[in-house]
Amino acid sequence: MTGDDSKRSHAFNQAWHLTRRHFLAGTAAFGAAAIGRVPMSHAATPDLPIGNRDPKTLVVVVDATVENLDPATNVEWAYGLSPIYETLTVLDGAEALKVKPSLAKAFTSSDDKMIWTFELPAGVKFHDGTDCDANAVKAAITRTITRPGGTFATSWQIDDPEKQIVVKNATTLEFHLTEARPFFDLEVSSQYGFWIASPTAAQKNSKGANDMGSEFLQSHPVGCGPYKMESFNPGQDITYVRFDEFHGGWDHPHFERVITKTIPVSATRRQLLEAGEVDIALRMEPQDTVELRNDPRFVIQDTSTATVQYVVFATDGKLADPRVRQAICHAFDHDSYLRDVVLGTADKPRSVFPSQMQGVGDESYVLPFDLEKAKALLAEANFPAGSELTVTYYSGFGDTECQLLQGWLSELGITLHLQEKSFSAFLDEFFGDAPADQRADLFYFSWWPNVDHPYNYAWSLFSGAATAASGNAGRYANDEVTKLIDELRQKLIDTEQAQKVKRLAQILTVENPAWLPIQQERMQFVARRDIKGMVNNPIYVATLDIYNLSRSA
Amino acid sequence: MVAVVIVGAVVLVSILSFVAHVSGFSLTTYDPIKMNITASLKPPTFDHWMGTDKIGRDTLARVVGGAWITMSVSFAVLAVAAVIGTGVGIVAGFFGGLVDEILMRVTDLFLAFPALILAAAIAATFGGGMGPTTVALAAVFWPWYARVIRSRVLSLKEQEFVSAARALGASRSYLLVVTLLPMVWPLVLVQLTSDVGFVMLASSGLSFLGLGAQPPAPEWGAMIFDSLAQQPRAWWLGVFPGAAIATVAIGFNLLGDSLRDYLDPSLGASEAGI
Repeated sequence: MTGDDSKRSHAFNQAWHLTRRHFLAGTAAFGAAAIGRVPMSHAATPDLPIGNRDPKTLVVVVDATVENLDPATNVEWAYGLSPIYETLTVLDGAEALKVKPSLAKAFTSSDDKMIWTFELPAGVKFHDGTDCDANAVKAAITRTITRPGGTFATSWQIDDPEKQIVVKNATTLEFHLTEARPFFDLEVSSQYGFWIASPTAAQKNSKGANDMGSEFLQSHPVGCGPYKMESFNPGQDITYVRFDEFHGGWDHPHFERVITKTIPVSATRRQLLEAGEVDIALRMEPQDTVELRNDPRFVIQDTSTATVQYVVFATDGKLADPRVRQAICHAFDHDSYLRDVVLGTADKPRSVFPSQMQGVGDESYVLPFDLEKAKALLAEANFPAGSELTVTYYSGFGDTECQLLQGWLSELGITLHLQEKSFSAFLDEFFGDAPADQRADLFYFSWWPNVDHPYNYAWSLFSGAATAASGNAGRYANDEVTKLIDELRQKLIDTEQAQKVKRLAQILTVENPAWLPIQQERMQFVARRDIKGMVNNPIYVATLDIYNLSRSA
Repeated sequence: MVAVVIVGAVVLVSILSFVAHVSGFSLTTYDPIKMNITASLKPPTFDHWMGTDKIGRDTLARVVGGAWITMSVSFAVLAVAAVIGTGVGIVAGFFGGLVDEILMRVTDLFLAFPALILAAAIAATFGGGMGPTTVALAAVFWPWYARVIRSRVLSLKEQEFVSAARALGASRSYLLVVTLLPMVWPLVLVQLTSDVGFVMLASSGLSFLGLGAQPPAPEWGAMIFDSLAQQPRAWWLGVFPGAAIATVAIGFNLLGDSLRDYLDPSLGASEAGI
C-alpha cells in the first residue's frame, strides 16, 4: 500500500531469495493442494466414536445465540432456558393440545374455567437452595407480570397478581381469572414468559424497581429445572450440570452435563457432527440435511412446526392498496422455491396461519405464481412502473428468499432493494414506531404461536388494536379481521369458530393480504444414532427436552 | 516470463471487461443477475463452467460481470485518491512551513485509524452500497499519496533544475504544474498499480461485511460472502471469485513492480539499500 510497505516487502524478498517465479509456483501449488483437500463426501463408516469425550456429556450445536437467561425478559430462543427452568405444565411429547405436569404434579379447573388449581410437589428446591413452594411460584410469576417495561407483562393476562394468584397452602396455588380461559393449561405450558425463576435470587440481586433482578438472572439463571448453569459465554456456549436435588429424580440414564454451542455456519456444525465432537446439531442447510438423511451414523428428527416464514407488508406506505400486495403474492413461486432451493426441507404454507392450527382446515389460500396476473393487478392499482421498494431482513435469515423475490419483482418492473441488518437493529425497526417513510416496505421474519389457537396467533399480528410493538409490524388494520379475531378470544374451536378462522385466512392471505407466507418450517434435529429420546413439539421451536435424552450403550 | 504472462493476462482481462461492459458484450450466454432456481447449486459442468449459486445464477457470468464492478470501484477510488493525494502532497512539499504543517496533520488524522476500520465506519455511516464504498476507500487511500508525493517534492525542490526555473522567473503555479508534476507522475503511476490490488481487496472486504455491493450485484467479495453458508460443499462459489481477486491483485502488484523498475530504477535501488 505504501512506500514503506513496498520497502518491507522488497527487503523480505531479498532476505529469503523468493523470486517471483518461486512465489507464483508456490502459490499455484498451494491453491491446487487446498482445492484437492476440500472434502467432497463423507466416508460411510457406520460407527462414529466419540473419542475422549465423556459419554454422560451431551454436546449440542445450534445456529442461534442466547444472551439473556432471565425468563422474564428473554425473547430469544428458549433452548437456553429449558434445561434450567420449569413451567407449571408442559406440552406432552409432540402433542400441541395435550398437557402433562411439569413443576406442578397435578392441575384442575373449575367448571366455568375461571379458577385453575395447581398442586406442587413438596420439597422442591431452586438451584440456590431456596424452596420452590407455592409462595415462591407466586412471587416469580408476579415478578414477570409487574416488572416495569416487562417483556411478558401481558403474557399471563392477570391484572392483579396479588389478588388473583392465591396461595392455598405451601403446595397449592390457585389462579382466579377474570374470564373463562378453557385452555389456560396450554397457555402456562408456553415457552415465553412462563418459566419459574427463583424470586429470592431476583430480590437479593435486584438493582431497583426497574430491574427486579433481571440483570443478574440474565447471566446467572436460578431455576428449579434438571440442570443448573455451570458457565456461560454469551453468544458462544452454555454449560449445564445436573442438579442433584431435581424433583424429577435421576433414575433414567440422563445426561449429567450438557454443553450447547453456537456455531453459525451449517457446514461447521455438520463437520463437528461428522467428526464425533458433538451429539446433536440443529438447523442445517437443506443440502446438508438431504445428504445426512442417507448417512447411517445419524438419525434426523424431521417434523413439521407451527413456524411460518413470511414477508410482512407495511400497509401504511406504498403498499396500502391490497391489489399491490396481491400482485407481490402472485410473484413468488412457492413450488419451485420449495423444490429447488429448500429441497423439500420445508412445507408449503397454506395461509398466513400454520397449516395444523386449529380451525384452519385443509384448504390452501396461498395465491398462485402468476406474473401476468400480478402485472394486471399492478396496472389496476395504478402502481407506478419502475417503483422501488425495500425489504429488510436480518443477517443469516431470509437473504435467499428476498433475492428470489427481488428477481421475480424485477419482471414486474419493481426494483426491490435488499437491506440486511443485525438482529437487534432489525428488531428495532420491525417492532418500532417509526413513520412509514422511515421504515422498509417489507420485512422478512418468522412467527410461531405460544399456543395452538388462532386468537393467540392472530391478535398480536393482525388485529387493528395491536401495535407494531406487539408484532403487527405491517400496521395492518381491517375491521372485519379485528372483529373476527376478537370473537375467537378464549373460544374452543368448534365448527362455528372454525368458519371464522377460515374467513380470516381468506382475508389475510387473499383478499387483503397482510403477509406473503413463504414457507412453513420443518424442524430438523440431526443426532448421532446413539442419542435416544428425541421428540419435537411443533409449538416448542428449536427446543429439546434435554432431561429425557440419553445415550445408548 | 510467468509474471509477464500474468500481468499481460490481467491487463488484457481488465481492458476487455471494460470494453465488454461498455459495449454490452457478454462472455457467456447467461445473465449474471438472472436467476434460474431449477439450476440451483449446480457444480461446474459444460453448461456452467463455474457452476451456479443458490438461486441458479451462472457463476462464470457473475465473475465476469463482477470484474467490471470490482475494478471500476478500484479505479474510481484510486483516481480520486491520486488526484487529492498528489495535490495535497505537492502543495505541502513545495510550500513547506505552516501550509505543510496543516496539511500533514490533516493527513496524519486520516492515517491514525486502521484503514479498513475507518473505511467500514465511513461506508456504514453513508448506508453501504458502491457509492459510499468508493468515497470511504478514497478517504483512506489519499493520505498515502500525499505522504509519498510530499517527500518526493521535498527532495526535488532543492535540485538545480527547480532553482534554474525559479531563477528564470517561473511562477509558483508554473513550478508546481510544469516543473514538478511531471517529475512525480511516474511515482504516482507506480503507486497506483501497486494499490489496485489493495483497493480491490479492501472493496471486496467491505462487500464481504455487507457494506459494499448490494444484491444482486455480482461483486467478488459479496459473492464470497454469499457462498459461506454453502461451504465446503459448493466450493465453486468461493473458489472462482476468490481466484479472480487473487489473480488480479497479484497481477497488478507485479505490474507495479515492473513499472517501477522501468520508470524509475533508482527507486528500487534505494529501497534495496544499494
